[in-house]
Amino acid sequence: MHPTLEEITLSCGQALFTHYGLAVDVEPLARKDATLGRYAGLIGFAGDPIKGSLIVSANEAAIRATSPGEVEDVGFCQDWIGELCNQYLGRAINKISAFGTTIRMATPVAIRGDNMALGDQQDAQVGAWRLSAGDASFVVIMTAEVDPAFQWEVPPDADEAPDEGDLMLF
Amino acid sequence: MSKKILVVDDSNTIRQQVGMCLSGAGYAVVEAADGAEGFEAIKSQSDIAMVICDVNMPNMNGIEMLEAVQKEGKSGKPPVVMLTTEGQPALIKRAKSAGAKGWIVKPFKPDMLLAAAKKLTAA
Repeated sequence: MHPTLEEITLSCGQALFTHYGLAVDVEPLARKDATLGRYAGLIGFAGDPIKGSLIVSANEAAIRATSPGEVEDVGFCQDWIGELCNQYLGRAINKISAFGTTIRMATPVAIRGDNMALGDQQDAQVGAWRLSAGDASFVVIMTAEVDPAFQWEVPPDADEAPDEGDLMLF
Repeated sequence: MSKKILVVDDSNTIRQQVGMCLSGAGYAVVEAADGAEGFEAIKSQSDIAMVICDVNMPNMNGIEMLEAVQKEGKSGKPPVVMLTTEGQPALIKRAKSAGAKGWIVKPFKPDMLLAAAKKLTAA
């Protein structure tokens, strides 16, 4: 995986989980060790120079630690992991857009299961990491196919995306 | 009488979170789970004072909902603020052209959301 995309993926995760009160440690995972937590959100994205998907999975402690409200039931956990994945990828896409790209995100899919893992996918760049704080553990897998001609350089006339939480009134 | 705000988001958790923030400040809150439901609510409930709307949703997304409301051409449409994980400048420009009055990138800060509600419902 290109170092810039890896840096974006990790910094966005750390910033997002910090917002929800978790200072996470990052541990790179080998593909074979990237077994997902019980709850997983996944979202595809596609644009001119880059397409791929993001998976964010969490164990129950991670769901409880980041939830904005009381964890009610399985449906709540699935809804929340889908939304967390959405907020994670949104941050990443906003950072990637600074390189002059326009990328569309799909809507999140949330799943639940035990011992979930990815199959082989030889044609894409894949990065996998565990982001954890105490009992709370997330496994994040970024998969991307990037046009070989694409340069990770910010064009001089690039518009900046607003920061998370900022209000823009027109 | 409380001013009514419509919250359009496919995440039940986000609808609850935004709803609690607004109702705690004295607003009445109604919900819709996608752009199609939101569009119907705007058409059928003339007392909606403001709409807070996600972008990426199934059936009809938030920008398509804005464009559908604009196409209706009715006067007295409520102001719409987009609350979304998206922040790409091209998308913000498209929303603005379709009549959006504001944009907040998730996760939201409650004081910013309430500032937008106070300003845009002060008619």
